[in-house]
Amino acid sequence: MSATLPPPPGDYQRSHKLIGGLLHKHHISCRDSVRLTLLSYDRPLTDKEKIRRVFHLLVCSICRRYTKQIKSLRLLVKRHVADLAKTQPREEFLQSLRQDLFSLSTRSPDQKSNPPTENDG
Amino acid sequence: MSSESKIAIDLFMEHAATLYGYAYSRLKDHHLAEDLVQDTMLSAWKSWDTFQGGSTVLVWLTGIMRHKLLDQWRANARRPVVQDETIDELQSDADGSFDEHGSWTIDPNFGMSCMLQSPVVAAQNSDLRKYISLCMDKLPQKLRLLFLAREVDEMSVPEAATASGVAFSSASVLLTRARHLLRACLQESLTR
Repeated sequence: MSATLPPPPGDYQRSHKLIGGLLHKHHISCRDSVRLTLLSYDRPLTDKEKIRRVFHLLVCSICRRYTKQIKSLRLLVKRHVADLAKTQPREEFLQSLRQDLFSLSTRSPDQKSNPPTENDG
Repeated sequence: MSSESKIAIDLFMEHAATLYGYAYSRLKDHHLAEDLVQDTMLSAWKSWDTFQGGSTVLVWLTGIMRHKLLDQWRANARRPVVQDETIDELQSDADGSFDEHGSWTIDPNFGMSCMLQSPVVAAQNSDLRKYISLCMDKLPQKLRLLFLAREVDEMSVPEAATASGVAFSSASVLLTRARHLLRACLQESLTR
């Protein structure tokens, strides 16, 4: 899926050609920082993880922006689902549902002594 | 009908629209949502005695509906076991976004400037909203259920895992994967 996307900007490529191996060795690569960012929404990071992530974000503007994206993404998803949840049911559906509950309640064993009354408002 | 039953019916019906909204937001199909709400309401009505009163009626009804949703999904899944394994083995970074040192091979910010605005501004972007909807639909159902349980219903990770039928041990990996996939899908849609 990433085939159509352009490579990162030139200065990123140059700098990470130099420091990529070093970052990788100390578990503070871009991939590590992305993983920690995504993980941080499910559990508190350990102190070590926090330091690794903060250090990476200090040196990498690409990942700083990635973090921002994920923040927006979470809010957008919440809003999207909240909008969907405002969808109202059809009035006929509500009426038939009420009717179903009504017939269940009149049929239930403990209601036998109380026969349903017509027209209860 | 006793007045007690009438009060109970009114109490149930008060929540019908909310339950329907919840069902629709998960299923995105009016017929399926109606069936689910009806199924939930009727079985809740039959097990009214088991309602402990420890939570609100709406929470209780929503819980029943989540179970039904999961059951329904399980019944529809053709080979759930195989699917489980496939999802579990996927690593969040297996899509070639990173090189062997873990540096980006793509520009993750290309075409994503709208995501860097304040979320309030971003939420007014109708294209963005359309693509969010599209990409949510593209997530595998189990992943979507897990993600929504965690992010929208704000359940704890173990609760969300249970509610979506995912092993607790893999929930964290899968949530990471869901966020990663969503973002990647969104970028793909925005730059197409």
